[in-house]
Formats: sequence, C-alpha cells, structure tokens
Amino acid sequence: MPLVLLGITAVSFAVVHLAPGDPAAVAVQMNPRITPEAVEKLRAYYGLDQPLWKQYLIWLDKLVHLDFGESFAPDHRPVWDKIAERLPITIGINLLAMLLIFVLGVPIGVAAAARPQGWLDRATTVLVFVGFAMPSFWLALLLMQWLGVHLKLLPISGLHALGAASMPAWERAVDLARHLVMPVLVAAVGGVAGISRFMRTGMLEALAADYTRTMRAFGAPEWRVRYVYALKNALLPIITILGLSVPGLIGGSVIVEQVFSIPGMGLLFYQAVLMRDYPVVMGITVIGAVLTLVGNLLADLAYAWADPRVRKGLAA
Amino acid sequence: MRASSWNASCVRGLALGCALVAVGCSAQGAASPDTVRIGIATAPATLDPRFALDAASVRLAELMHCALVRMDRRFAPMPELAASWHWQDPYTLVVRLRPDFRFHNGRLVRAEDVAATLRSILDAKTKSPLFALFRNLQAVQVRGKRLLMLRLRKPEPGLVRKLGIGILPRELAQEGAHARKTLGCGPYRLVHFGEDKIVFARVQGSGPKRLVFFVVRDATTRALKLARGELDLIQGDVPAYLLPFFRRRGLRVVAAPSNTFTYIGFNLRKPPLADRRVRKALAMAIPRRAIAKALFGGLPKLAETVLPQEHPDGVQVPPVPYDPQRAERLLDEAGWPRGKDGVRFRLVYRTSTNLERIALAEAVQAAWRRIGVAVKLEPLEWGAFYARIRSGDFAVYSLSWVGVADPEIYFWILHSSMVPPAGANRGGYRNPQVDAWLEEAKRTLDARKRRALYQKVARKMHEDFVYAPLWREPVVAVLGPRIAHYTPWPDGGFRGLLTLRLQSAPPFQESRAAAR
Repeated sequence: MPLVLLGITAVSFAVVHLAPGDPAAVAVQMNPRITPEAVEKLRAYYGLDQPLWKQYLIWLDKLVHLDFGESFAPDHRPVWDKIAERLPITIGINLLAMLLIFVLGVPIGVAAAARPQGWLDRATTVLVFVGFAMPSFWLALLLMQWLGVHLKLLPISGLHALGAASMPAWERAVDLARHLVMPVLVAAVGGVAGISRFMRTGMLEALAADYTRTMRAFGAPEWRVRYVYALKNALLPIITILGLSVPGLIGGSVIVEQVFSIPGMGLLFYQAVLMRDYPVVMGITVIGAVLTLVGNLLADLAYAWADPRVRKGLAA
Repeated sequence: MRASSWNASCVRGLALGCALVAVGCSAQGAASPDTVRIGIATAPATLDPRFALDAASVRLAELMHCALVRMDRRFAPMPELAASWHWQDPYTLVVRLRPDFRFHNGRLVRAEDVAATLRSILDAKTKSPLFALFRNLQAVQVRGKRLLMLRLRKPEPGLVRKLGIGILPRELAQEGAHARKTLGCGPYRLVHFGEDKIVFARVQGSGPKRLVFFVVRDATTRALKLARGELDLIQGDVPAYLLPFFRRRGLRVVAAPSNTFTYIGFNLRKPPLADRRVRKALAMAIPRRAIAKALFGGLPKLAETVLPQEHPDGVQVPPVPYDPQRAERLLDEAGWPRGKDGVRFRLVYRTSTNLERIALAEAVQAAWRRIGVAVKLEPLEWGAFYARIRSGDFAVYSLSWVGVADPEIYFWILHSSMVPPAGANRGGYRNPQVDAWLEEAKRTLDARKRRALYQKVARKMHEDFVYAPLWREPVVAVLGPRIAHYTPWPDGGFRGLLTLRLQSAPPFQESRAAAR
C-alpha cells in the first residue's frame, strides 16, 4: 500500500506540474502593478525555481513529517488548516446524501423488482433515467427558483442565515437543516438513480436464483423469500459501492458546492487547480488516495465478512 | 399481495418524507435595518494590504484600511491619510499626515506606522508581492509624529499613485502576514472573516452600520438570492444574460465604466500582422457597438486608449470606425487579396474558456470572415492560455488590462525592453521614438510635460494599432428593493457603499431569529 501511495503522489505531482502556467504568473495575472521581478521572486519563494525532482523530494520530506506545506494563495495558510475547515462540511453533506441515496434507492430498487414491468417498475425506470440524465446544476437552479424564490420555503445558498451565530442551538440546527435540504437533495439524485438500478438488477437475479426456488419449495413464505433471503444477497454488491464511496466523502462536488456556495473540498480542489496552488492540490490528492486505498481494503474485508463463499475461497 | 403492500408502504414513506421536509422548511428568519448584504463572486484571499493582489482582497481591504492617497473617480490621486505632499527635490517626497486618523483600537495613526508598513513591504523577509512596486524607495524617514520623507534611488514622478497601500499599525507591520486578523484605520473594522462570509462594522463616517459580504460563486445563484431578498446588492460578474431577469423582477441595474480596458492583441513580429495596414483593417472590421449591445447588453463603453480618456493623463483620439469596405481596401493595398476560396489569410485567435470571452471571439471571427480573414479559435484553460500569451505563442488574443490608473503602464506594455518575460510588450512592438518618450516621462517631475509625453505615446499607440481597442468593461451593480441610491466606483471597488442610501421602507424579513 505505501508503494501504491508513493506511485500515486509521484504521478500526481508530475501531472500537476505539467499543466502550463505557474502559480506566480497566474496569481498576478493582468495586474499592471506587479513587475516581472516580483513574479521571479514569488517563483523563488514558492521553490518553483528548483528542478522538479527536487521539489518533489522536498514535498515528500514534509509529507513524511505530516506537513502538507503552505498554500501558494496570498493568505499563505497551512494546507492542512484549509482542508480541515472544509472537511467536516463536505463529509457532512456527503454522508447525508449517501444516507438519502440508500434510504430511497434500496426500497425503490426492491419495489421495482417485486413486479418487473409493473406500473411501479415502469414509473421508477422513467424517474431513474430522468434522474440520471438531469444535469445537477440545472436541477439545482430549478429547485432554487421554485423552493427558494417562488415558494420562499428554503434559503437559496450557503449554510447559515445571517445572524445564525446568535440563535439558540435548536434554531441553529433547524437553520442548518433548511440550508442543507437542497444541496443534499441535488447531490443524492444521481446516486438514488444508480443504487435503485443496482438493487433492481440484484433483486431480480436473486429472485431467479436456485436457492430462492429451493426456499419456495420448502414452503418459506413469499415475504421471507423476498425480503430476507433475496434481499440479503442482492445487498452484497452494495458493500463494494460503499467501499468505493469512501474517497467521494471528502471529494465533494464542484457543481453542488459552486451553485449552492458551499465552501467544501470540491471547490477548494477546483480553485487550487485553476490557481496552480500545488500544495493544496497535492494535499487533497494524498488524502483522496489514502481514503481510496482504505476504502478498497474495507470493501474487501466487508465482502469476505458478509459472503462465506469469499471467506472460504469458494467464489468464482 | 405482500409485494404490493410493500410498494404502498414505499409510496407512503416517500410522501411522509416530503411532508417532513416541507414542515422543516417553514421557518423564516431577519436582517438588521442598517445592515447591507452584498453578494460577491470570490472570497478575498487576505485583508493584509501588503499581500492583497486579487481584486476581491484589494476591494475589501480598502474598506478597512486607510492609505496615504486614494484615486478619485477620474483616477487622480487624492489625499486621504496624507494631508499634503510635495517634492523637496527629485529624490525626496515629503508627506504630512492628517491628525485625526485613528486605528480601530483607538490609537492615532503616526508617521512611524506608515514607515513601518512601507519598510515591511521592502523587507525581503516579509515576502510581500508588492515589494517591486517600491523597489526604488531607498529610505523612509520619520521626521515627527506626522511628517515623513520618502527618499528615492532615482526620480520617480509616479510614486504618489503607488501610495494607495493600506497602512498597518507599526506593531502589526513588523510581524508576518495577517490575512484574517488585521487592524486598519479605514471607515470599517473587520468583525468576521469566514470562507463564505465577511462582516464589517462601521467605525466612522457615512455608510451603513454593518456590511456583510456573502461569497456566492455562481452568478445565477447570486441573482436568485437578490431576487429572493437574501441579498441587497450584487456587484461585479453580472453576466448579460441575467439582465432581462433583473428587469422582469424590477431590480435596478446601475453601471459605471471601469478602468478595465478590453482589447484584441496582435503579434507584431510576423506577417501579416507586422503590417500596420492589416492591423488597422482588422480593427476597422469589428462592429464594436453591435457586439457590445448583443453580447453585453450595451453596458461596455467603447474605448480607444488603455488609459481612460477622463484620466488626468488621458487623451482623446478619434474612434476606430466600423468600416468593413475600407478594411477590405486596406488589405488589398497591403498585398493580401482574396484567394479562390475567398480567404486572404488565416489567423489563430487564442482566448480563455470564459464563456463571454468565447462569445466575443466568435463575434470577431464572424466579423473578420466578412473581410476574407479566416480565424481559428483556440479557447484554453486560463493557465495554459496565459502561459502561451506570455511566451509570444499567438497571432491574435483578447485580454483586459484590469485597474489601469497609472500611465506608467504604457512603459510596461510598449517599451522595447519590456518584451516578456521582462514586461508585457507581448506583441513585440518596437518604436525608438515611443521608447524615448516613455523614458523621458519616467524621469520628468513636471506634471504637464509628463502628461504631454504620455498623450503622445497613447496617440502613437492608437495610430500604430498595437491593439484593436474594444471597450472599457462596465462595473455593474444590481440593487435590491432596500437600496435607494448606490453608485458603483469605476475601479470596481466598494467605496460607493460609503454614500449608499437605504429606503425608508422596512427591510426584508429574512430570519426570525435576527428579528428578535
């Protein structure tokens, strides 16, 4: 695992630096007050005048000491501080979105598989494909216009109302919840569509499997066959999806965060790439890489725990 | 049977969920009557004036910091903290401070604070990106509580324009960067600096008691927040496609021409653009007024020179007319007749991936196609685009000069020694006469003589079509119903807030908690 991580950081470092333009030039852009001398000084200050391999070794040395370095942005704040203040927001929104995805996606998939080609199956299929096809920024704007401007039910963006700091705790919680409704909904729409399709297919396969027929032959009640034996087996692939979702928890969504003005990780990463803020880009990449590896490991372990065929080496 | 009851349970569950969400949404909440909520596109990176480079940082920092001088609406330096100044000799500027300026902790601003701020910018340890701006400053001498002498290495008549830097208390200036916890002597003090919100409270003078800047990155979201009453004012980054929405909603759009000059740059090193007649023809073939109206709601003000005409050193030159027939004749004269396919020559037009820039490029492409010039558009991500422009890897590009107030910009963009990476003479313009005028203007202390020299340079630049001039970008603000009067400042800053007037009508009820 450490070797894979090293490989990821080396490739990421090289790719990030391959992009034309450097932070010194991008930062000053068209500002006529900044002289080329200042740009050169900035480059030296950032260490960009060093060969790339040397820059990588310096960065790696800091990383070994758990130091992500200092942002190239004019605030010069430590990268970890920037990540730490956005991480809870992104994790919170993504956990809520994931919860919504499973709470809605699994029952929809199961219900659709209960009567294939029935009215509910057809209706959910249409809804699911609409959900898949709908651009999230467009859905976000529609919801903002309808729920925010027209009905005045929900705030349009941000996480807190003006004056939230002076509210009592419960009112602050309600205020936060109101601000989160639309972002979480938009973040979850695509996922609900995906999970419900996975569940539908998994359930149909499980219901057609030999063990299901055997259970029915033994006289097990239909609800038990469906919602205990078939559902258990159909849920197995979801473990893999859960494992792969772990890095997404910190990745955030650029579109949702941009449209709803949420200061999350996705937006931080996107802005860092545009500004060539290499320390921030690399900091988020490292955390993302570690979580991907950990997520894969957890998924493998959970799969082995849940499926005796995997545990005993019987799986195909 | 059981499956269908399960289905019915799902539907009931969904309905219940929706109902709960709706109930949760019913709370409404409120804003103080003397608070103005402003939507901005980007968060300032810092409020430490020694490090403020990006537009958001500069614009917000000037609300909380006082400076020796500030530019007025015509971009002439006006005294702020400085009561007066005069040149003792070509190397020494004497500045006298006003006695009534205080930092937000109550202490009077003294000459030693100004000296400490300037010295910290010059100190390599501070790593201020503005140090090169003051590299000609040899010494800053304090000659009393309110008297300061700035000694230069060589004469620099334009120094006064550079003294618009915010002043920090000496004790803060001697330390490192204070991006988020800084102290100023301006009309507002910083109350809160968050990723999504920056709050200022008024300390002195006119203007609303409290300013809350909300960082709302998406332009449409800002428009919707304004329409809903969550914001009172938005300024900057107002796309033209939203103007009809504001009109329908009865929200007032106010605009002022800024000092951001938009142009099309040419690479003068290679044919056919090395020929002045070709550049003139291309400039004359652009229907600027029609493009400005179609793409930007007619808000940009057509401009001919980099420095605004009303600038103290500005000049009035004849506008480039839209005359495609004349443009065709010029191209024929220059030896570029139409080929069998109707094309005279081909150009690559580089631009950024900004949608408005691409729309502009497409309009110019269509205009030039009419005179037989085939244009290939190459939109590039900003960093890649800017790197190519800096390295001279272009034939044509469009860009803007942001915040042009100092006539010395002409030296940077026209002098033959300023070809990148040394400066911004990106097209490779070389004219010994212009070089001589620019060098003389840099030395001359006599304001009238200097103005005459810069006016000659601007005229020559216009005659030589170093750029195809387009327009001055507008500073656009959209006002919510609570705002009675607001005039945007031409530099895109927020000093107009100091003269903002609110309606007497009760404010929009935003949050129940804040109303209590």
